[in-house]
Amino acid sequence: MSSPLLELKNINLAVSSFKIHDINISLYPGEVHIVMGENGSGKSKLLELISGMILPDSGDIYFEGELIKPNKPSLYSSNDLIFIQQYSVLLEDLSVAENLYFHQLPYKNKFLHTIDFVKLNKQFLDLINELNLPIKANDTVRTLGLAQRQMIEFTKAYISDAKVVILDEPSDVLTASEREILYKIINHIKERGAGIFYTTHRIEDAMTIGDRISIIKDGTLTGTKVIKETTEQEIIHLLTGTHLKERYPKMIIKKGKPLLTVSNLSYEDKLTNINFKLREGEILGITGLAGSGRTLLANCLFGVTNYSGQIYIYDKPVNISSPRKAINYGIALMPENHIEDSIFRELSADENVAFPSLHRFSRNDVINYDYLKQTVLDYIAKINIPVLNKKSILEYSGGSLQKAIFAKWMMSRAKIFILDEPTRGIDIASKIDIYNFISDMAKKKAGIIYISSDIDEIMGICDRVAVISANTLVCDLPTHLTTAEEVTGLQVRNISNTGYTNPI
Amino acid sequence: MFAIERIRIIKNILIKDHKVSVAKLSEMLDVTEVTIRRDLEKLEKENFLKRTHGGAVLQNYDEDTLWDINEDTKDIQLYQEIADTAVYLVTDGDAIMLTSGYVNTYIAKALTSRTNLTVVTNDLLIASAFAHSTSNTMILLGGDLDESAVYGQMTIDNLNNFSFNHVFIEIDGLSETVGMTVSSTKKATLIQQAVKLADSVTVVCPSKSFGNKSLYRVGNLNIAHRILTDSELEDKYKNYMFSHNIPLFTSIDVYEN
Repeated sequence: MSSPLLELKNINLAVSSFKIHDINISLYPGEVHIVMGENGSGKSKLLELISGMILPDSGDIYFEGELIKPNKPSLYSSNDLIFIQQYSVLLEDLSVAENLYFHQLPYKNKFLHTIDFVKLNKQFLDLINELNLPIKANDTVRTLGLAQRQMIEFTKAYISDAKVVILDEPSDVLTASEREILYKIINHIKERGAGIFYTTHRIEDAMTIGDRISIIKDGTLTGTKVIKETTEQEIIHLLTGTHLKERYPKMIIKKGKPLLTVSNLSYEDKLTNINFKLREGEILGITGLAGSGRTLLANCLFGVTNYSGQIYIYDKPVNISSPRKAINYGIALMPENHIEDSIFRELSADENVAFPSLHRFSRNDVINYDYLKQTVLDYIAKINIPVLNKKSILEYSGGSLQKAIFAKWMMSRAKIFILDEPTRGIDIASKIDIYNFISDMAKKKAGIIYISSDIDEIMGICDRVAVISANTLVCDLPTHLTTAEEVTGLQVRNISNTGYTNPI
Repeated sequence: MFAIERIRIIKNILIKDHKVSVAKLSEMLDVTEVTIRRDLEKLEKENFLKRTHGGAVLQNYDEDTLWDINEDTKDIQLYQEIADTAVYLVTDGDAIMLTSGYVNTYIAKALTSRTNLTVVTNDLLIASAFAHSTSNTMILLGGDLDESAVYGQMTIDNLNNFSFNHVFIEIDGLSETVGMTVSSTKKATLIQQAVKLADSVTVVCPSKSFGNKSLYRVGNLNIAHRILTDSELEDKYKNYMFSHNIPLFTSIDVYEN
């Protein structure tokens, strides 16, 4: 093998509670190096480190055998590296051709910088014929869909002279035929001798176009394999790592009556025919890749998004047309983004916590603040977070804030809790508190829908696990009858390979 | 709705301060003294408090308590939380061993709500807490009586006749450095033997005993399949248990339904 194009040696980085630990990874010319890992495993941080967007705390990066020194002209200021991010960064009102050749525009007059549009369009036509892209030269970017925009980004990488190309989850939004085009572009990039780092959740991608694959878990590389010498099974095994489902506090709780029944729920073409039942005292885990529709499902159940299909609460048909209705039916949603979607920044902690329960503290539309304050203080003492003297709830740490959000819904006496990534990014002690809150809720007959990317957590605290893939639930199994590896396999494989059908 | 809130608040104040005055409550809750008196009367009927001149004091609300309570009311509340959690760690029909201890006595009482349990203990208070339960079986071990529990070779020989689904061991100290400790050697020996006879080991320890060390070692933390404590546990122990893969039950009682 030739010498490496790019080499990272003993890279360490600590960002608040997350750590990249002692990473060694390399990239050879003409190689596609796949990077896989669950959400939050450190993939994006690794890409940022490779691309120079952030500097490591320690460790060295070599480009073509030379050490890259910070603050010196280097790989990062040249055209040798191109980073295509998950979300396209195109100029909306320019044509596709203009976007593509923005840095290499052909001029009619070198001094006046008048653009030779005829030549530009010719260049572009040659290019799209070569790659067989479903795009017209004078389409403005604004009129294009997400997949087409991605195509343009890939083409950018193709026409650039970059030796190191980074593609962050490029196939996420693509259909099968669009993926074929992506693979073709990637092969062209390889042929001209560039190396590609490629992150993905799709194991087919890795098997089809990868040369080597590295798996990252909790900020550490758990293995690097040559694709030809490995199997899907081995990759899935590396992805899931050693299982620690035993560390989660899980009570033995008798399930009660069916609390929530979802029948044929659909939304546009993004969710189809979702069916499941949630009983009193039950914790249902829902997992799936990012963007698979987990959050969309949560929004449908909370009346944020208008769904089709039928929802029943205690076997009575209901129409959840707004969040207000959802709250009245006893449904609580804790969105994935705690700070943006769960709190009012302008209000104090007390007011935030009391918000959905104001009717408990008011008579004739007048709020009795003494009651309110006393009750909130009881909760704050119980859930063990500091009492804030300051005005804003944002003074809380991530963990305390999330606990306050739990207090809010517990105080409102909700019955059905939809928790979207409730423990992501918070400290361990708060996580343990939250697992215990959930147990407390379940033993008092609440029903919990637990959405998480952390398979160990799902296996450890849920009674059942459902996987969303290809816009629908592809399995719904008791956690004690399945394994983390099986669930991960269902997420990353095409569902057509699995024998599972929805049992309801 | 309103009265419920008011009563909850009064209860909380009583648990915290052990006494309340009518005037203070009336001012704070913005209702007349008559209303407060009525609330207090209601709570007195529930045996929660005892009315006094101008106010009320907390009743030892656990009336069938079997010993003189020197314990703080707050502690009792925490023990109760632990006991309520323990109920959800066993399955009807289980064979269970409860080693001697205060908290395990509360657990025994709470477990009477289950059915078909067979409970074995060396503690007289635990046995009598369970004695009235007709839906479960209680077996009391024999041996040398010390205070309210039996120990010694006879007890161990007795114990060896059993095998358990579940053992709840109550310990006096738990620390990262020396593991689990108790206050007497005979207690340590008994617990060590009970652990050998059970499929599943739950270590029962109030939060205030974390970080404590008693003289006699029971063993390392890794013999615990789970640790059961109350909601006042310090965060650093939560981190420790999680990083050592031991499930930690903090028995928090916060959700109202």
